[in-house]
Amino acid sequence: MINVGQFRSRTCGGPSRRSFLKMGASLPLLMGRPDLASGAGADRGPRAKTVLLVWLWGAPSHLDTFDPKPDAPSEYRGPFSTIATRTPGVRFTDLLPRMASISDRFALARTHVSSQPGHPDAGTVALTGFHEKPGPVQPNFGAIVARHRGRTGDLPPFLSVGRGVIQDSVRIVEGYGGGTFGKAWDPFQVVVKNDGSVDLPALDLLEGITPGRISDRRHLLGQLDVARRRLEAAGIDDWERAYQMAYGLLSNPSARDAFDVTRESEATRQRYGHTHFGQSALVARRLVEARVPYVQLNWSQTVEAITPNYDFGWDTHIYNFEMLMDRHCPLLDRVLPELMTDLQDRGLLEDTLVVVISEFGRTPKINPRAARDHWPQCYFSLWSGAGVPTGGAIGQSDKLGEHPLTTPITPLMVGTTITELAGLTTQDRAELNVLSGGTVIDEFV
Amino acid sequence: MNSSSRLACCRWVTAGLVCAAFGWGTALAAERPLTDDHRYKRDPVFVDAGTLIFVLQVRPEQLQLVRLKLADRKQQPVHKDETRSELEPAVSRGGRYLAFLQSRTAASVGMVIEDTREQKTAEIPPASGFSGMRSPAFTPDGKRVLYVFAEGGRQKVFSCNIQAGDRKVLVDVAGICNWPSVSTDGRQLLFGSTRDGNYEIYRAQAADGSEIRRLTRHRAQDVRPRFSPDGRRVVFVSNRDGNREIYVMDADGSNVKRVTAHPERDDYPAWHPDGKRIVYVSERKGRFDLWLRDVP
Repeated sequence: MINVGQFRSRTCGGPSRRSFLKMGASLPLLMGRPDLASGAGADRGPRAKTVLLVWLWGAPSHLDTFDPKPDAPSEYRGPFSTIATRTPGVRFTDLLPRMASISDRFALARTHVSSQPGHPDAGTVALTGFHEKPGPVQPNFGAIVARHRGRTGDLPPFLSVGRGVIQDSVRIVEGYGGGTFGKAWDPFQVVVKNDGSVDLPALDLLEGITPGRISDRRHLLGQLDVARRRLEAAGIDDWERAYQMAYGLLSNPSARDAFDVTRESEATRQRYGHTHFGQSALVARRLVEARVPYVQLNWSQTVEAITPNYDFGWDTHIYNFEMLMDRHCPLLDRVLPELMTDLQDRGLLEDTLVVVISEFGRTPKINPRAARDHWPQCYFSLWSGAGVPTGGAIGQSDKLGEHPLTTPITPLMVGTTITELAGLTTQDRAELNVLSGGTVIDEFV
Repeated sequence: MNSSSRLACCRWVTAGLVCAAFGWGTALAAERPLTDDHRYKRDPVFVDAGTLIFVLQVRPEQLQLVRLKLADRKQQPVHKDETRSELEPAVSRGGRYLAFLQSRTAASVGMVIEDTREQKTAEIPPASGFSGMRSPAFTPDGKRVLYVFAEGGRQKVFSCNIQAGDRKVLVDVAGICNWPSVSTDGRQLLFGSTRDGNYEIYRAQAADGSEIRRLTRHRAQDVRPRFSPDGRRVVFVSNRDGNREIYVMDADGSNVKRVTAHPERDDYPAWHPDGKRIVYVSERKGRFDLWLRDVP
């Protein structure tokens, strides 16, 4: 079931309840701009027709997952055993047996570094390559790919799947969207619920317009006037593109089908698991299949709910070991292998780049609360698809997992590599005035 | 017999052989679900033979204590108007006292001890900053509550009285301790600890935490031990066979038997008061429900 804006609607059915407007961050997103799309990239045929970035918000402990240090002193290594993987010489903790069993399908990078120790700042750096301050905030890698690619169909070129704009208890991650490109390049928010139903909040701007009423032109024009006034009131001057995107989705059943996981077999839905993250990943796979240029899948399973009203993801300042063992890792170890296997089985990994990454790692030394805090000096990522060599580990961290022993990988390098694989040349990036000074991760390009 | 019938028959035969090999054929037959809402849940505990309390994720940001009557399967929130997350309930023998964790602010969790008869509560508030207690458990006489709390990098077993006062350290060893459980006679204490590297299960004197003895020895994680009502057996969870399953062993660590065998996760076991069955959370097809089954 898809909830178009705030009214529920089956893809082939009518509305079931009234919607209402929710302006704000979810509203503007919108469509690509063919006028700015680079023909050169399309002609070359990018290695990554689609980029799927799995965003592990909150920052998982690298030592307790993909970069364990079993020989470190007890105050560092944590309680988990390690297990062999399909990658020679690489071991994961025993919390990730399924990931270990498919490690030949991805590359592990272990030398990421960030310059920021706090979630929102580090989130912006990780997703844009640059600091928030001094501004202006640079565009998310997804906005860059979207603007370069332009609109390729009825679906928006940059989609964010999760529970909305990522934020901690203080503020949002400013680098979630269009940055210097403007709000028109913010991601189209796709909000998935545990049962797989989907909200598309941006379509709230078409409040009262339903698929069944699209053909009623008189009613439609009236509603569009209402929508225009709402957008103007919200300071959105480029209402026409906003409307076009929303209208395109609302009026095109095949486009809307991409969000509808009920079209999947129950067996498939079960393999992903009936959890928020599981069903979100399934939606993301459908969007990859629909050839959306850039999809950001946000880890947004509120875990343990120990922080009222906020989803801190992997931010385990207390209960790190219990939460990883009880909830985070079982969930990740179910969904990620299923997602990668599904993409591969459908032949999508050949030209889809999958990147699994967070804003930083967690302190190798266990804190006084027997947990782990923020650690931007060393963390990991996983890369798969689009011709990236898999089944190996890129770089090495030191014996305590505190610092890279080999070349550090910066967020700017991540963004440059992603966009390069997505078809942007150095010149393309220069023309868009983005990712200045960035270099690629040689092993992946 | 058509092909689908033959296939079904083969599956049953295979299942029977597997059951026989593991020695839990009769237990399989006695397994039954107690819920069918499939929502995320954890921490079931019996109040009496006909009533459970468990934790249900009622909305993304809230875990709620829920009371389940076995007779009619009716579920009711324990604290109807509570909006904070509550988890890890423990119930004193007889059901008068309820102890549980309650979220406060960001990564800040307190422990509440509720006298359900007098409608009074006592609490141990979280320390400043990120802080939280874990795993409350009553002594059999209902006079004290054991719990764990981390300080100085060690997670220790503490105890307090039911007014949340007279706090004492009971077990202080290297690493992380968790899941204290006291035998019905009040003499023995079970807990999990990483003192020897990974999570293992230990037994000690309940009075002072002395005479610590290791009961399990495995590279996998052995967690969440609980004494049976007669104190002779221990139920616990381990991933020693690849995923989380439930096991029982004698109170001295011998005679380990696997209780569940499912491709997905079985976790959070709690003894039925009759000592012959356990309730637990089983993840099946990515959904979570409470199940009740015999223990071999």
